Amino acid sequence: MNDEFDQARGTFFAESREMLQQMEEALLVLEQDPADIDTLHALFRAAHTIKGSAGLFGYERIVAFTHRVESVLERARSGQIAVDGPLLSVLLPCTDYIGGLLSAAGEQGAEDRLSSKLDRDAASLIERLMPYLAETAAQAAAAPPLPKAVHTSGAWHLSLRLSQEVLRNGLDPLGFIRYLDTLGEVVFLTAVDDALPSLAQMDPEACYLGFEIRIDTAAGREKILSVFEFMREDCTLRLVPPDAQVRDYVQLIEELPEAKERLGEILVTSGALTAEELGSTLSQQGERRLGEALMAEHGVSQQVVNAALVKQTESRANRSEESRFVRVQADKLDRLINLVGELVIAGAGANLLANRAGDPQLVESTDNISTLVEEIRNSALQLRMVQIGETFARFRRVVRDVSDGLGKKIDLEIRGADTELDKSVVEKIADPLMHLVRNAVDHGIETPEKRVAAGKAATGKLTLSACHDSGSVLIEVRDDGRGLDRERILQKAVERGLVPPNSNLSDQEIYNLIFMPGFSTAEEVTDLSGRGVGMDVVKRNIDALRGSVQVSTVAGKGTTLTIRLPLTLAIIDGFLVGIGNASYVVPLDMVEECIELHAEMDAAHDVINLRGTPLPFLRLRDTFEIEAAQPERESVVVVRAGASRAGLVVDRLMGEFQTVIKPLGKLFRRVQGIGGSTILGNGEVALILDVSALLERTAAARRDTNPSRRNAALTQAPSALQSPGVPTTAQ
Amino acid sequence: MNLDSALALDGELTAPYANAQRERLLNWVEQAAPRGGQHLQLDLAAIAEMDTAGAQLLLALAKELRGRGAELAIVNPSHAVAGVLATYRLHAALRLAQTQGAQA
Repeated sequence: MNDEFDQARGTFFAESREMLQQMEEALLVLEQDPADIDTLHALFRAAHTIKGSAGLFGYERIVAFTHRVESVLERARSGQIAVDGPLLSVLLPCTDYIGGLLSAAGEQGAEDRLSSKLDRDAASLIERLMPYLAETAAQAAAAPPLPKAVHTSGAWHLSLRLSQEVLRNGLDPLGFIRYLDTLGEVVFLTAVDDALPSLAQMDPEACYLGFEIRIDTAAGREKILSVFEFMREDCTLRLVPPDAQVRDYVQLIEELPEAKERLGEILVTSGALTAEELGSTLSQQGERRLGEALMAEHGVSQQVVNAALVKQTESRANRSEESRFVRVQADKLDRLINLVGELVIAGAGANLLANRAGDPQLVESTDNISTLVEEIRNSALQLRMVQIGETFARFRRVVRDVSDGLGKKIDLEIRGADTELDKSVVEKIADPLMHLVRNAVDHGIETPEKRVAAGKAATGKLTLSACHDSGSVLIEVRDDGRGLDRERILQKAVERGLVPPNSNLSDQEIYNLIFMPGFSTAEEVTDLSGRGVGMDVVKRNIDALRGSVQVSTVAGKGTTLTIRLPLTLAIIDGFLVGIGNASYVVPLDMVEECIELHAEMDAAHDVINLRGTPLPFLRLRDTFEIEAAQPERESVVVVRAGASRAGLVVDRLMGEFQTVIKPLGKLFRRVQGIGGSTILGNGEVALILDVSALLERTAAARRDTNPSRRNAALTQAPSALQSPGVPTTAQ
Repeated sequence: MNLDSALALDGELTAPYANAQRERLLNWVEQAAPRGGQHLQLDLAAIAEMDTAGAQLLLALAKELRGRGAELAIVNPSHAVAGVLATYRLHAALRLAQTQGAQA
């Protein structure tokens, strides 16, 4: 077992606990409003997720039990059973029980030690679930036929469990069992003394025994039951008829209180079953353990469960689980991060003062503090990081359901599920991602017939992947469908007046048109080959996260949408630049290099020659209309966002700066090129540049003013898309 | 077979006497303080009556000794004892020596 697996396992436990929490909450909501279908769906999804992930890690007990819960929920969801108080009150203890299974699974060996207790609990819960399960005839027929227990012919199996009071009530089971002899031949009898306490602790007048009996008799069920008539109040009797299936014995084992291994052994010894029958049946049910144990001829006495030990183990399992994960309310975390933000600002202030005072010792100590503050900042932000896998996992069902509905076959592949990003980003990206996934399934991937006709595999492939890339997270939605139809998009854009007719656009510019507001409306959904459903909304959502989205496509081969997101929304490393009296912050991970602006760089045309490569640039002085004297020397900050690159011309380079992002007021929301504000150490406000928006502006400027130079200046030329950071389907 | 300790019970091995008989068995176990590999022998020739409570006591004793790694053998079962042990098929569990049983 390696670290990665352990880590994944840890995630499984944390997620499953979260799912359980959701299930519980959902049940409580349903109690108030049984008609809330969304909550019922959520409940089902949570159970489904637990089952699915438990299966991945081979926790078969969890899979088996959760499967039953899920089946009940499925019936509720499809309206076959009513969501009412009794059902909910059965389901609530089921979630508790799954929690118990998780705890047992979390500790090495606990599941085996607790197996009899867990099985007993499961049996009683399943009994309560049974009325809601009610297997239909079709389902029963679909189940694989169980082998018939050949050894049982002619003999009844009796499982007798006596109440503790039977002796005190003046009854002696001995007489009843002797009387059995009159019905036929008792071919097997064994006393089950598992519940018998130690000699010192037992109450000698209480009865702790049970018996497993096989009797070869022509008598019927009623006749056998009548033998125990007088003792009816003081015993539990289970009868398995001579023509029983192996399944019946498995059920018997599940119902009885003793350990499965022990009972299985008794049944095998009695000739009711062979070890193979038992083993195969149980493994069919996903309960291989017992069969294997029997084959391995395990000793029985080890299975005796000491109640005190069980209790102790349980609490230890819970403790170890809790110590690995601490659940914290999100707002407490937000408050911490806000405070860290203030600390960063205050620290910058102190740094400034120390530098001004010029006391070397003071400067050194404030520098030390700055280093620590930076570490605190990183650790605090790390607390908010969650894995994107949970969000991705939700799409499995979406893909399955949508593709089923459309008669398509689609495999969903998920990569990089352990990529971490800020929780608030994850929450906000879920909807746009859902949109992209649905689009890919709806419009991207073709029907099996069309795929086969096009020489592709009938089953389409949808890949969701995530990875870290230079301070941001890349999320990719890739399908191997038909790709975007360049001509149709252009035609549509012209129809809608988004671009003038006969405009000279590169392929990439045409594909980017799908993100234009008003490009597509709902009624064109099915009409348009490729995509286009509300892509402008997707883009707007991603822009709001300071992210970007790009599309690349190859006709007939597929489409890839690449989303680039910042790791966090709260604090970034910034690069401070100055123009006139104003300060601006460029996110540091977008800065490639800084160079001095020379006249020989062909600055007159707003494109400089950067070591032989044309680099468009913006004069921020012009962009923000700053009226200040132009300094003798100007600098160029080369920035990159995804595949685009441009230079920003500024007056001064002021170095790195930890930037706490403060949102802009309503008034400034619409200002292009500004993503937020921050407070500098000296109390002044600096604006944070929205580099993606500025890059788009350089591209647009080139197009409007000087179409002939477009190929040199376009920042989103197709060739640029082939940069290593942005994989495309064309590669 | 090396015999490490032996006890002969008399009276009844029935519910009303179960507690008294249990005390005797407990005392015996305490005094013999059986260790792993030892053999303890219980002579039941003088038992006049026996029922399920008695059988249960013997099972508890066997379990106790097994827990300590020692072995219990029941010898000379009286007619009453033999009958109960036969019905409940406890010969194996209590290591009832058939030959000695036949003498009783």
